[in-house]
Amino acid sequence: MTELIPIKDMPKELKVMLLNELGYSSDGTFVLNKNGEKYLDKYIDKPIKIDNMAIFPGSTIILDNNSLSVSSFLEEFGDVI
Amino acid sequence: METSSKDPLASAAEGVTRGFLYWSEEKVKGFIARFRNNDIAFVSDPEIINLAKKQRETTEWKLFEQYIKDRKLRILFQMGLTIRTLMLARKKKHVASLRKDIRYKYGRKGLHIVQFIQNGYFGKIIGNILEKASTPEKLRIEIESILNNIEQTTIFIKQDDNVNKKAEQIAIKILANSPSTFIIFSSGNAMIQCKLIKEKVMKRISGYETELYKTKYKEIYFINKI
Repeated sequence: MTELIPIKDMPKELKVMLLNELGYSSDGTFVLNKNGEKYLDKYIDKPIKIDNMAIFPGSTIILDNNSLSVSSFLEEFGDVI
Repeated sequence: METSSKDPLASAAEGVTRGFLYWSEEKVKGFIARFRNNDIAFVSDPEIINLAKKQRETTEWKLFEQYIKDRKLRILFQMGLTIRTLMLARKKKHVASLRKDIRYKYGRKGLHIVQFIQNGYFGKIIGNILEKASTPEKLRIEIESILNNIEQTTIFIKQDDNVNKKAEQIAIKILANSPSTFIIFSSGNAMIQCKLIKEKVMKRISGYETELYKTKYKEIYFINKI
């Protein structure tokens, strides 16, 4: 089973470092893609705030940590987390 | 840099979840290595992940998922179960925010499907559908048809509804769409109006018969095509 690491209280600079390591970045509020554009949650089509992001392994999927996106992820990829 | 972190939500959450972490660059780098090995996921709120997973373990979901492969309906079904759980836990803010997301993504109809599941109506209608569906494929088609056409195939009667107007509205929907099943829901004091409305509807249409599901507080009329 995939272990869930809670990052709510991770310092922002470390969240940015985490995103950079995974090929993304942040303007301090939102997650940005490789082109510096706001990265959208693929299930709700909304920008993802760094303070409420969830990052799932596999092909590194970053989502907004809300119920609709999480259930949609489980529906697409199965019970992988 | 060494920073302490206490997350009461995380420590309360079930599943494999760390609740207390000291953050440092080295620790994050270690986690990234484990992430690349698919061992861990980073989440702001583990409770939401566990809530989503729990809905997929319910009997209702296990029954539904056997027959329905439409991804949108499957997600909306899980949202109905999720909102029901949140309502029981009195998490009104979470419910309001989730409803907003559902409406944004799936529109008013999507929200109606979610409310239908949230109110437990799937469990009530499945017996009626099972009687008519001779194969699992027909069962799937019937369930999908009811949910996909929810605004044409179901109605909830309120206490202050005008009996004549509502009966006419339902009769027109049935005559226009010829659904194999039309479902009328009511609860509490509205059950009196509901019975009157059903009687008036049945006088306006032909080729249909009714079946009643009744508890002390709820009444559901199935108007089934003969």
